[in-house]
Amino acid sequence: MTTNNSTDNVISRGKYQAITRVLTASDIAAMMTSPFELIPAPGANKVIICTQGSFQMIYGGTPFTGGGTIRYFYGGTSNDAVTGFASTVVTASANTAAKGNSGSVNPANLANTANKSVTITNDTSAFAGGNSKAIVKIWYMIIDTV
Amino acid sequence: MTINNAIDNTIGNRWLMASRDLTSAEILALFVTPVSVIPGPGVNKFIEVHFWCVILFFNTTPYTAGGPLRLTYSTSASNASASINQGVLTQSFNSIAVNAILLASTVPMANISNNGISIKNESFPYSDGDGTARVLVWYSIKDVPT
Repeated sequence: MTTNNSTDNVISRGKYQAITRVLTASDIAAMMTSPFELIPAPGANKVIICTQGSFQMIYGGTPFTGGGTIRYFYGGTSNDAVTGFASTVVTASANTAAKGNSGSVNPANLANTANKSVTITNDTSAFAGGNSKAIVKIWYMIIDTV
Repeated sequence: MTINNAIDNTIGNRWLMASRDLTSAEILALFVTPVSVIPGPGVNKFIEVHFWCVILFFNTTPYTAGGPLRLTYSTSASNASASINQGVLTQSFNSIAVNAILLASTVPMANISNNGISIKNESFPYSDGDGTARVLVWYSIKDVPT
């Protein structure tokens, strides 16, 4: 990062943006063991900072069972990028939605977040049996760390 | 629904970003001497903070004590943001924390109009440490309603 103690009216060190991903039923069932990548790793000396993540389930007629807390992790770590939310958003027999934010995420080791992707996964056990898909949206910015 | 995997980079285009590096001396004094991050925006204007981030660059000695970090309006000391966990500064490694929770409290317009933004810490002074920190704030300047 080359400019300090300054205001930057073009956000030249990162544009605030959002990315939307569609998770199929197979993606949802597999995301505990194979976290689904939402944002690719940004490169050396850069970190993705997330402000909020939303999860919208489009109910397909057969509910998922099992599962656990939905988590947005920095890839390959258990560091939260935004707060997670209860599995009931996935196991409900209806269209549902939930949102996490960065407000109560604990400070993270920069080594666990720099040049890491952001993925969505879940705790406890895999979701099973359902046929719904989900629309996941996450708001973020990429900043320099040096 | 037509939303598919997509990046929306049009949001936040009118936001500003301020960057302020804190020395160890400033961190140690932060409880009694807040540090200005953004100057006052001018008559009949006010600053709205969207989210902010603190990065610790650990040196050799961790900070102890201290309290939550918070952005305030400089002269009125009214809160301008939710707090960031002080753990971001007391680690023994480079660390990062983000907060995007908007304040829900009511603040008199007189307390924020043409008022800059400062960072302070709550509870107790930090002690012992020798690292530096970077404060990044994303914000907008808005007209005072008339």
